[in-house]
Amino acid sequence: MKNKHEIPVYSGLLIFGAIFFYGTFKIKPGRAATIADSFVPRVAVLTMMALLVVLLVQAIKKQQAEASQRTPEQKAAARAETKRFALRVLFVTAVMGVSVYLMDKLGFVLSMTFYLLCLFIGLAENGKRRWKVIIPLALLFPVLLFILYLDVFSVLLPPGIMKFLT
Amino acid sequence: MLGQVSFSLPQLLSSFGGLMSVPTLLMIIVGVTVGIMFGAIPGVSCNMALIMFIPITFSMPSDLAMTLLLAVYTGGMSGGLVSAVLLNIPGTPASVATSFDGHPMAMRGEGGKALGVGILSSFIGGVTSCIVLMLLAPVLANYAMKFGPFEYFAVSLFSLTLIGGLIGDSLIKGLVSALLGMCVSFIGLAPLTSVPRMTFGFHSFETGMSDVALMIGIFAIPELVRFAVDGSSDDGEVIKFKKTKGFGISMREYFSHWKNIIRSDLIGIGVGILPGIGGSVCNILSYIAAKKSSKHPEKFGTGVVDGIIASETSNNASIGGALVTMLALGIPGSATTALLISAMSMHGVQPGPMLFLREPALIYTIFAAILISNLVMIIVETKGINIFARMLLVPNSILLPLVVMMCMVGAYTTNYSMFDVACVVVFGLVGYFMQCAGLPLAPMILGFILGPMTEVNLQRALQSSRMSLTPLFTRPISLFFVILTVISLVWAVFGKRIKAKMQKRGG
Repeated sequence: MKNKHEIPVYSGLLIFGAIFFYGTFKIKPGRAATIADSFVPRVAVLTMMALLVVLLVQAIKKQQAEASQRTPEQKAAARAETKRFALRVLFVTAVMGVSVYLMDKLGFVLSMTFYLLCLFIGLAENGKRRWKVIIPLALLFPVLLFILYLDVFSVLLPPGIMKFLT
Repeated sequence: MLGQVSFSLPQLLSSFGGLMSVPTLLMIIVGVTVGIMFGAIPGVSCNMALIMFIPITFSMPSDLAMTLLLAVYTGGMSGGLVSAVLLNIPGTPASVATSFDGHPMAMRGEGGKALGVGILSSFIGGVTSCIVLMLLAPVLANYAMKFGPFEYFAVSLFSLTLIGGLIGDSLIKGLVSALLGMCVSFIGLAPLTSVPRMTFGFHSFETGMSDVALMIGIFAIPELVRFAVDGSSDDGEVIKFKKTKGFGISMREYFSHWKNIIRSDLIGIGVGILPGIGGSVCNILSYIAAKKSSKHPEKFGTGVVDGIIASETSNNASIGGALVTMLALGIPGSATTALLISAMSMHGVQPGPMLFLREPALIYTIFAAILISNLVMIIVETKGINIFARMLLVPNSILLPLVVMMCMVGAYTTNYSMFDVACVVVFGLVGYFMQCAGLPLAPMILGFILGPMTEVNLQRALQSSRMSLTPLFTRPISLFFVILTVISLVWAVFGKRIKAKMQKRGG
C-alpha cells in the first residue's frame, strides 16, 4: 500500500496548505503578542508547502518513468485496482459518515447497530458471513455499551429516539 | 531559587502502599490484560487500547487514571510477542524482531519456551528501565528547571527535526507530517492572545481540534480502511504450542545471556529517551547488536533465544526511556507518550520539571504503577497465554469495527461533542491517505503536541529578549540543542551518503 496515490495526496495537502495560508491573512492582530499570531502558522504552512512541492515533483517524475514502461494490460489492471480501491474507501467512509449523522438524529444504539451490521457484512473475509455471530453482536453490543457507560461510568451517550434506555 | 528534587525511597514505598488496594490491583490487572490483548492482535494496537481507556479515566483521580493507562501501556508493549511467535505476524512494530527467532522456535515445537523467554525478557526490560527512570528523571528535571523559553524552544525544534528525520523513510515526508500536525494545532484560539485563528467563521473550530479526536482518527480509522481495501492480512496459521513448566528455560540458562540482556536494556532505554523513536526501532537495533556480538551469528533467524531476549528486553525497556523525556521535559518521546500527555492534561496535570515539585506523589505513583504493572504482566501473560493465543483467531472483520466503535465513543465522551466524532472520521481518512502516500503518521501527532509548545516558547523568548534571537545562540543549553538540531538535520539529509562512503572506504 505504501507510496501509492502520492500525487493526489500531495496535491490535496497543497490545497489544504493554500487554504490555511489564506486563512492566516484573516487573523486579527492581537495586542499582547510580540510577534503576530499569524507568524508561526504562516512559517509552518509555507515550509510544509515548499516540502510538498519537492515531494510532488519527485512523485510526478517517478510516475512518468513508470508509465513509460507499462504495457496496456498493466495499465488496465492498475485502473481496475484504482476503481476497487476507490469503491472500498467510499464504502467505509459512507458507512461511517452516515453513522455519525444518524448518531445525532437516531441516537447511539440505532446508529451503531447500522454501522456494525454494514461493516460486518461488508468486510467479511472471502464472503464468509458468520450470521449467528454478527447479528446478535450488532444488535446487543451497542445496547450493552450504552448501558455500561451510563451505569458504570455515568456517561450518557446520545439517546436519540431511544430515550427509554436512560 | 527552586528546590532540588531527588529520588526518595520512602515516598516510593508509600506510593506502593497507596496502590495496594483490591480495586486498584483489579484495575491494573484489567489494564494489563487489555493491553496484552490489543498488543497481541495484529491490526489493533496499544495506542487504540489507550484511546479507549482515556475517557473511562475522566471520573478517576489523576493518580489512578495514570496507573490504569500505564498498565495498558506495559501490557500492550509486551503483548506483541504472542502473535510474533505463534503467527509470525508481530502484533506491534515493537515486536518485529521477536518473530525472527520466536516463530522458527514455535515451528519446531518450542513455542512455549519462546513465549516464556519473551515474557521474562519483557519483565526484565520493563523493571530495569523503570529503575533507570526513577533515578534519571529527577536528575533531568533538576536540569530542566534551569530551562527558560529559549531552551524550550530549542528543545522543541530539536524534537521536531529528530522526529521528522527518524520516523519513516524520508526526512521530507517526516517533516511534512510534523508540520501538518502543527498546522492543525494552530486552529482555534491563539495561546497568548486568544485571537481566533483559522476558524473561517465556524464556532466549533474556536475551541481547537481535540487531540483525542485527532489521535483516534489517525490510529484507529486507517486500520479499518486498510483492512477494507486490502482484505485480510492475518491469513497466517496460529501454531499450537505445549505450555511449558515455568518459563521453559532455567534461570541459569537465561542469565547466561546477561551480556545480551544488559546491552538490549541499555539500547531500549537510550532509544526510548530520544524523542520520536521508541520500541519500533530499538528492537531491531538490539537484535542487530546481539547478532553482531554473538559467537554464532549464523544461528540467528533459525530459532535461538538470543534474538527473542534482545528484542523483548529492549522494547519494554523503551517504556522507561520514553517516560524520562515525558515526565522531566514534558516532551512526547513517542505517539504513545503523546497520548499519555493528553490524558494528563485532561486531568489538569502538566508534565515537565515542575511536576516533580508540585505533585511528587503523582510522580511516585507513576513509578510504582510501572513496577506493579510489570509484575502483573508477567503473571497474567504466563497464566493466560493460552487465552491470548486463542484470541488471535478472532477475525479482524469483526474485531476492527468493534474497536473503532469504542474509539468513537471515546471521542464523544471527551467533550460530549458530535463535532469531535465527525473530526475522527475526517482525520481518519486524512491519516489513511497519508499512509497511502508513504507519509508517517506519528510525526503528525507529535507535531500537534509540539506546535503550541514551540509557538508559546518562541513568543515568550522574544518577549523577554526584546525581539532578539541572539540568546538562542549565546545561552549554553539552547545553543547545545541548536547544534543538535543542525546535526540531526545534516544526518537525516546526508546520513545515507556518509554511510555508503564509509562502507566503500572500508571495502
